[in-house]
Order: sequence, then C-alpha cells, then structure tokens
Amino acid sequence: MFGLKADWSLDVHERYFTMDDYAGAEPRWCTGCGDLGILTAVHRVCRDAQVEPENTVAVSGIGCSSRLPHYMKTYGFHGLHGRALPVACGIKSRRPDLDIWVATGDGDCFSIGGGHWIHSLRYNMDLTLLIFDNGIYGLTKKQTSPTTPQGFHTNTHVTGALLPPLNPLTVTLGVSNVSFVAQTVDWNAPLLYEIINAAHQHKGTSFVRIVQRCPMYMEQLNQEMQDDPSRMLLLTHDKGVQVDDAVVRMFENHQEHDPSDMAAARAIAQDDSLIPLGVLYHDPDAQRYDELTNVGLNMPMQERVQGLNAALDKFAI
Amino acid sequence: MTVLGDVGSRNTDTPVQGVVIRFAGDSGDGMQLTGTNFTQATALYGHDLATFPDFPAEIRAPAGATFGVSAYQIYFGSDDVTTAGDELDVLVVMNPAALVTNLQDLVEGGLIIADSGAFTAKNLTKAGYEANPLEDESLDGYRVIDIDVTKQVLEAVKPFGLSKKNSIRCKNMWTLGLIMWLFDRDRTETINGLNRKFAAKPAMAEANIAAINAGHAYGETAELPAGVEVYKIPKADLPAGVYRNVNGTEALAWGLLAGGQLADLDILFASYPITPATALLHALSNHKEFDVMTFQAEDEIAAVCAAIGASFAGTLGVTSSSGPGISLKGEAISLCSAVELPLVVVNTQRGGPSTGLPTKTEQSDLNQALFGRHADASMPVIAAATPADCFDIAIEAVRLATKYMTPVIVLSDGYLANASEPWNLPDFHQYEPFPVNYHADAEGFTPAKRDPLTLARVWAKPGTAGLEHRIGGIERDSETGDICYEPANHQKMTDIRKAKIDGIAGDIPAQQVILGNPGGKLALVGWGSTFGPIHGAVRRASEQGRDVSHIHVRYMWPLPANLGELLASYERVLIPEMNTGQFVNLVRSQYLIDAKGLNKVSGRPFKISEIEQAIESELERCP
Ligand SMILES: Cc1ncc(C[n+]2csc(CCOP(=O)(O)OP(=O)(O)O)c2C)c(N)n1
Ligand code: SF4
Ligand SMILES: [Mg+2]
Repeated sequence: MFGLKADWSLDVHERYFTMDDYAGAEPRWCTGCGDLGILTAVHRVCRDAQVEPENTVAVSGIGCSSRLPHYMKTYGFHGLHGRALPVACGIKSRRPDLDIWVATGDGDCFSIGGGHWIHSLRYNMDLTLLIFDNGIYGLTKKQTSPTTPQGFHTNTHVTGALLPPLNPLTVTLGVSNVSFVAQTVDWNAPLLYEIINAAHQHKGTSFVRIVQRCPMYMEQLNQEMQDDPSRMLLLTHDKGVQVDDAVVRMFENHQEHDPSDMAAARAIAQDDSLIPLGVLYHDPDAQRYDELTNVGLNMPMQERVQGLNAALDKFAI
Repeated sequence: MTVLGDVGSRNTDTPVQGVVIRFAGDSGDGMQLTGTNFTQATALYGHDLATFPDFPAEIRAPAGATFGVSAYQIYFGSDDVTTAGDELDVLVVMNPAALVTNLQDLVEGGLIIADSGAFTAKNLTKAGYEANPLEDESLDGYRVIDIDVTKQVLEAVKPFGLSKKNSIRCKNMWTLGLIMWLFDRDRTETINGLNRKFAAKPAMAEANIAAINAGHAYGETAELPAGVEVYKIPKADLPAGVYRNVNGTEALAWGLLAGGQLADLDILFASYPITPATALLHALSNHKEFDVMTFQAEDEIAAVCAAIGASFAGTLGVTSSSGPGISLKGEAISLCSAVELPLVVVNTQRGGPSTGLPTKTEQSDLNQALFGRHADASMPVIAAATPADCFDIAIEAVRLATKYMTPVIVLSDGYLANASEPWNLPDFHQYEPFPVNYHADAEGFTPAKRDPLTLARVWAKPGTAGLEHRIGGIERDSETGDICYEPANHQKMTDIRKAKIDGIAGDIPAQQVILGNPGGKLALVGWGSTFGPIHGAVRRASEQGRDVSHIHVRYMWPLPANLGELLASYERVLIPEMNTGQFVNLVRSQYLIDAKGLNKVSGRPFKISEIEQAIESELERCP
C-alpha cells in the first residue's frame, strides 16, 4: 500500500496489488512440475512491479507450459501451437501501453515456432519471453523435442534421441538486434525471481530460457541435474542480476561476465560442459520495431487531409 | 462493341463507339506504363473504360522471349464498358514475340503497330518466325504500321545526352505519343507526370517528353496506310461526379481505411508478400494519416496471428494473401472463429494449385474460403464484383467482422486487383457509421457474454479494469467462458457459433436481379470478377430479345435469404465461373436446383462472346 519516493516521502498507491491479484485459476500441472515455481515467480514480479492487472497480458502457444495465461488474473490469450510470439507482436504493435508476457515451451518455441522465435528476437518488441524448457514434449506425452538430450528415450525415438540437442543460447545470441538473453533453472527460486524480474524490466524482447523439471517424463534426468550444482556456472557481474551470498554459495562454479560483451556471451553459450545461469547478454539500446512503427501515427488533422488528397490525386482523372 | 475494322470499311455513318487496344512487348519495354498513361488520358477525355494488365510470371525474361511478353489491354469508348474487350482493334507490338503471342486476338482488318527495329533475325527466331511477318504477306488481312521506333527515338532524344540504354527506354513514350495522336488524347497530364517523376533527373524528363511529342508528330506527318487517321470517339454518358481511376487493389485499400473510420477503429494490416495480393500491402503501407499500421511479418502464419493479436488488443486486425498463403493461415482463421474476435482476411485469388499461374486470375479458392479449414468454423465470405465494388465490399467486411465478432473472408482475384475503371467517388456521408461498442460493465462480466440479437460475443479490450479475462482455442463454457470439455457444452457452443453466422443472412440485402426479370427462362448467376463479361453478354442477349437475366452474388456465405426462391423461378440457371464448378456445387447442394456450370480456367477472364454462346445453347435446351 505504501512505497517510498526518492525524497523519502511516503508514496500512497491508490491501488495496491498483491500476488493474489495476478493469480488466476488453480494450476493443473503435475505435482512437482517446474512450471509451478515459474508461475509463482511471475506473480511476484508482477506484484513488485505493481503493473495494473488490466494492463497486463499473458500470451502463450500450446503445451503444458502454455496453460500459464489461465493461471493469471490478467488479460490472456492462449493461441496456437508455436504462434505465441506473432500474437504478442500484434498486440504490442497496436497497444504499446500493455505489459506483455509470453509463455512458451521448447517444442512450441524452438520447433514449430522456430521461425517466429528468430524473427521476433530481431523485431525486439517490448515482451518478456519465458521459455519453459523441459527438454520434452509434455502435453503430447513424451516425444523428442529439439532440446531432448542425445540418447534419451522418448516415444518417438525409442532407442534414444539420435542427435545432439539444439543449443537455444547460441542460436539466440546469433540473431541480429537481440537485446536480452538469460538462462536460469526453475528450482532455484531466488535466482529465478531475479532473472525474470530483470527480464521484465528490460525494454525489448527479453529471452529467458528456464531449464524446467518435468517429473512426469524426465524425472531421473532432472533429479541428477538438480543434485549436481557443479554442472552449473553462475554468471556474476554488476550489470547482471544480484543474488544473496547464500545463493551464490549454492554453486561451485562462478564467472564474472559483463552482459554487454557479446563475444564473451557467445563463448559461454558455446561451451556445452557447463550450464550457464544468469544474464548472458543485455543491450538496453537495441532498436525496437514496436517503437519504430508507431512513429508518425496520430497526425494532426491538417496533415491527414493533405495525405488523403495526395493519395487520391495519384488516381485523379 | 464496334471495332475499328468498321472504320476500315469507311462507313462514316456509324461513328466508332468503342475501341480495344493492347500494348504488348518485353517486360522491359515499359508497356504497363504506356498503358496506364494512356488510360489516364482516356479517362480525362471522358470515356468509359476497363483495363486488363497481363503480366508474365518472370520479372525480366530474356529479351525477345515469348514467355516474357507483358501486355496491357484497354477498352474505352462511349459504350457502357463492362470488360476490357474480347477482341482487339489495335495491337501494338514491340517485338516479334509480342506479335506471335497476341495476333490471334486481333480482329480481321485490325490495326497492327509494330516496332520494325525489333524484328531482327535473332528476335524472329526466338519467336519462332522463319520469315519476317512484316515483310511477307502473312499480315495481309490486317492493316500494319511498321516503324523503326528505336531509330525514331534515338533521333528524338539525341539532344539530351542520355546513354544509349536510357535513350532506348524512351520507346514506350514514343509509342504512347503515336497512339495518343491516333485517338486524339491530350498529352498534358502525362507530361506533368513525367516532370514529377523525373524531378531529380531533368534530362530524363525532357527526353521522355520529347519522345512523346515525336511519336505524336510522326502520326501527324507520316504517310500512314489508307484509312488510318485520328479517331474521334464520342464521350461516354457517365453520371456527373468526381471520378478517380482505380483498380481493385486501390479500391480495396480505401475500403478498409473507410471501414476502419466507420467502425472508429485503428487497423493493423499484417501480411506477407505474394502475387497478386502484395499490391494491397504496398497500397496500405503509406497511409499513416488513417492510423493504419502495416506489418510485413516473417510469414503468413505470423501475419494472421499478429492481426488476431491486434484484434484482441481492441483494434482491427486485417490480413491478406493469395490461395497458398491463405492455406497457411487456415489454422489461425479457425482459431479466430473459436475465440470470436473480428478479423478481415483478403484473398486475391490466382491460378493454382500451388504456385500455379501466379500472375493470372482464377476463382478457384471459393471452396477454400467456405470449407478449407479444420472443424466447424463457418464464417462470412463476401466477393467483390468489380474493381470499384472492392471499396464497398471491404467496408462490409469490417462491418460484419466487428458486429458479429468473427473472421470475414473477402474474395478478390488477380483480374480485379489489377484491372482499373473510373470510380465515381461516393459521398462518404452517405455511409452509416457503425462504431464499435467495447464492453465496459464489470458487473456480471464473463468473456462468454453475447448480444442476444446478433449472438456476437462481447469485446472487452485490455486496459479495462474489472474485465480481465482469458480466451483461447480450447472450448469454453457457454456461460462462464472458462475452459470446458463437457460434451453438452461443446454441442451448444458449436450450435451457437453456427447460428451466429447463419443469422447474418438476415442482416444483408436481399439478392437483386441486376438485369432482366425476376423469373423467366434463363438466369446467369455470377460471383466475383465475372461480373463484367456476364453483364455484357446478358445485355447483348436481351437486346436481341432473349429472356435472360443477370444475377450477381456478393454474399457467398451466408447466402442471401431469398436466393433459393429467386433461382427456382427460372427454368434454367447457368453459373459461369473461373474454376471447375465450385459455386454451382454450392447452389445445387443448398437449393436442390439443377444449375449448370460454365467453367473456364485459362488464367484469363471470360470473353463476352463465350458467355453469349453459352446463353444461346442454354436457351436452345429450354423446352
Ligand atoms: C498445429 C499443432 N500441431 C501439434 C499440436 C500438438 N501439440 C500440442 S503441445 C505439443 C508439444 C508441446 O511441447 P512443448 O512446447 O515443449 O511444451 P510442454 O508441453 O513441454 O510444456 C504438440 C506437439 C498442436 N496442438 N497443434
Ligand atoms: S507433463 Fe511434465 S511439463 Fe507437463 S505438467 Fe506434467 S510435469 Fe509439468
Ligand atoms: Mg517441453
């Protein structure tokens, strides 16, 4: 209800939103599903940002993870498999005032939506893009996804996935005009919150790949990863996200990494031996298509009439 | 239509009423420019007109190739012009390939104007000629003016110091000058246009103007074949008004903008280039004065999804493509029928399947528009009849989409998109505004709420406090709008969606008979761009005392409520369409009447004569 202004005076909000104001229907994900923790983090970030629920829109594709909009009490659009990003781009183009979240899975974003992934990164409209990467097709019951580890048995590759998995970070960092790239895991709540929060604050498309547990289909793999923090590399820097020492101590591998350094970001992403966690890349000044296309709208009446006449004169007879 | 051949017989008692000219040459010869400039001058002269630009699929085929011939046809005169004409009175050819591919359409005794400079051995071989047709007797049945245009042009533009290549490019303007002389056209507007176009390159402007004037002067002074002289064709009796010369693409663009104004909505026009639909994206890309935003998306799926996003956001999403792109959009169009948001989808049809004949016209996507999506996802489908009608059809699409919260499919085609006609600018105040009412009342709100009359779902736009809601492709409860898999609810929702679209039949005009009587021996029923040839044919047949009527359907779905009864009042019904019989199947299945089809899929519009013949043979079959 109260906040402190820069001059230390009390700022009384007319409306104060609690996490409940962003929480929609009861989630129907499996017990232990990583999606639950991500949802909570999103609710927290919304609450802390105090963006009005009516000005918040959650957009998704199809998949377990894409149920997220139903679990929000904001506006929401649950569209087609793979097509969350173009819907979000359409909304943002005409309504730059709205705060837009995009929830998408590894199949949704990297496979069927692969084209939109690449191009939306380049458009760099102001969207918070969360990829719930469980390395599997959850909703359709255990088919190989682009990020399924090689050799992992699925219903479509019964002797194990044939190819090395796609590296979403190197692909993302290869797209021109990309502006925010981060990675985290769903089971470290403080880090998850900080990264989603930083992504939300960034103006532009903030790409957050969340390594997400699917106890239904990937239990053993997820457990091994969770039990072995030595497979992670925590990225630290003044310009990155700041977490408590206690959180830092959970990881034995740390690296100072300046998120404005693209070459370093690519090198980290390229190295498959460790899973980097933190902000890999951040460019607050990248150009935004949603801003550029809004330039020149709302002309004064006189200019409108001039434009109309000029256009009609082209066909004058 | 009176052909120039009549003048050839020197029958001065019957002045020429109308003339058909076709300009044909290499894609690089600039025939489209010659044609459009001549069209503008013709419109200014006060003639009624119709044009038919016919492009090859290749952008710049090798010079002289038969598959690279680009043509522009115009029919103008004092007649009530309904098509660009069946046969040519004048054929202008810039090379042998243009002659060999177009001669079959020239009337006997018609006039050929040929650039003899381009009839080189090499070009003749490319066109498959063994001997030069300008020099043997093969063209004896025609009147021929052969001029070495290249030589004339080089002479005319010499003072301006252009490169040889740029000099030769003025050939189209020289030819234009000659044709303008022949039909007594005023050159002023073309010259003004050239000065504007080449404002930064005055030498180019001057050279092009000199070329036009030289072509004109050539007509005045040269020895031309007997009987070729300036033709003065009486002006057309067009109603008074302010006219603009528009093609279907431009009229459609204006209609969408007008629809947006009438609905009080900003537009997001999201599309992906594809011939012949792209021109609409071009046309709208420069209209910020109407707050229209265009989005060239990464593909058709992204385009339609962005349009749906814009509609969810409370503005109007519009998307466009041709058949192949509409296929890609299919899944999203069904989604839009499920979430019940407004969306306008424009299909500028082309010859298919697949890449088919991308620059040619066809009406073979009617089945796709009506049935080409997954599930029971019925939606209004409306079709423009003429280039100018595209304006009203687009407005109607916006009205239906916003009033009924539904996607609406607009069918145009390659012919309508490119063909132009004089358009009497409507008085915009005559159009009834239909401003959108967003839902605002939070009391008892659910996203499933409907207008009891139209069955339209409420439109609650993001930013409105208290109306936060989620929609999506999963079936929703008919009362609460929450996800719901109940069998009875799905039945109910399917029934509601169907009833909503069916109900639109009560909100559209009754089907009129455009020409002829309501009831009688024979009805010709058309839809879309076949309007011109059907109308022309029915008019001629009626003038000869035949009992035949023209009915033209614009609402393809739902069909006008009285259509079945109206069609049943004729002994025979004939449906000409540029496909293998799609509308005729719909009519037969909807009304159980024995309608017959007249079908053509050559990539070209019907000729009036083809339909006239069909009328005769249909009437012969009448008892
Ligand atoms: C056009 C289309 N193709 C296929 C499907 C089936 N389908 C639904 S979700 C899904 C994969 C989901 O995997 P992912 O995106 O990783 O999400 P998760 O369920 O793992 O969160 C598939 C193939 C669909 N709904 N639509
Ligand atoms: S299947 Fe996996 S991803 Fe889907 S809800 Fe269950 S645990 Fe979560
Ligand atoms: Mg997945």
